[in-house]
Amino acid sequence: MLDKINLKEIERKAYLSYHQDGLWDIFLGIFFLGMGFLMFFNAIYLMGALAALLPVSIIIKKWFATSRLGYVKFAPKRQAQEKKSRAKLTIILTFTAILGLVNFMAFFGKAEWQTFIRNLGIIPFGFVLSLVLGAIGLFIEIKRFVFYAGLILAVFIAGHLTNTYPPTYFILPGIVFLIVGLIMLIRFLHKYPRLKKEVPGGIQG
Amino acid sequence: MGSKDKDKIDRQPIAEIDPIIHEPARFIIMVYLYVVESADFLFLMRQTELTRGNLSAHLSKLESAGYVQIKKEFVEKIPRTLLSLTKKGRKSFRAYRQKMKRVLEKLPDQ
Repeated sequence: MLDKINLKEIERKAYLSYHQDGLWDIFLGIFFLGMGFLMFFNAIYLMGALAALLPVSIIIKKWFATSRLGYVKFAPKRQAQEKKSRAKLTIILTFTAILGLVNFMAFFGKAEWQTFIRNLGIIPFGFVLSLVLGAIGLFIEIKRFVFYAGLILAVFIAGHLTNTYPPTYFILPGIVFLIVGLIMLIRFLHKYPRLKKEVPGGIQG
Repeated sequence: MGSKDKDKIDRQPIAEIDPIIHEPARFIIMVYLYVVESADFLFLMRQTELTRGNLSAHLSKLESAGYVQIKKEFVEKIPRTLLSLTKKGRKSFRAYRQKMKRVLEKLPDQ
C-alpha cells in the first residue's frame, strides 16, 4: 500500500513540475495590469486585445516547459482525469460567463436586482474573476491560483468599501502575480538550465 | 528441518530479486517510466537527476533486458525519441515490487 502511494506522489510531482515555471502567473499579472491601465486610460474597449494573450500564452508555455523539462505523455488515468477536469472547468466557465452577462445587464434596467448589483460597483465583476481563477486552480491543481482568487475578491471588496480608484483593483493583484511569477521563473531557470547539445551517441533525445 | 535448510528458504526471496531493476539508478528510471505512458530523454534526466551519460548507460542496459523500448515518432509535427516500458518491463517491475515487499515484510522489527 505504501509503495502505491509513493508512485502516485511521484507521478503527481512530475505533473506539477510543469506548473512551477511561473509563466501562468506572469501572464495573469500582465492581463491584470493591462486591465488596470486600460481602465486608467479609458480604453476598456481594447480588452479584447488582452484576451488574445491567452492562446499566445498557451503556445509559449508549452514550448518553454517542454524545452526545459522534456516531453511526457502521462498515463491514461491522468489523461482521463485531465479530460474530466477540463469538462468541469468548461461548465464553470460557462456559468461565470452567464454571471458576467447578468452583471452586465444590471446596468440597463431599473429592477430591484439590477439596482442592487449596480450599487455593488465592480465587486460582481471581481467575484466572477475570482470564481474563474479559483476553478482553474482547483481543477488544474495550481493551488496558488485559489489564493489569487481570494486576493482578487478581497481587493475588490476592500477597494469598493474604501472608494479606491477602480484601476487599482486590477493593478495591485497584477503586481503581486507578476512578482510571484518572476520569482518562480528565476528559480525554475536555475533548477532547470538549458542543456548544451552533445555529440550524438548512446540513447539521447 | 535443519538450520541450513532454514537459511536456504530465507534467502530464496532475496535471490529472486531482479538485479537489473534493483540497481538504484535503474530502479528510479523504471519508477518514472512506470507512472507515465512515455517520455523523452530530457524528461527522464530532469526527474531522475541522473547525468546524461549515466542515464544513457542505464537505459541501454534496460533496453538490452527488454524492459524499455525506444521509438522515434512525430508528436505534434516535432520528431521525438520516446522511451517507454515494454509489457515485459511493466510485468517485471510489478513482480519486483511484490518481491521487495515480501522481503521487507519478513524483516524483524528492531
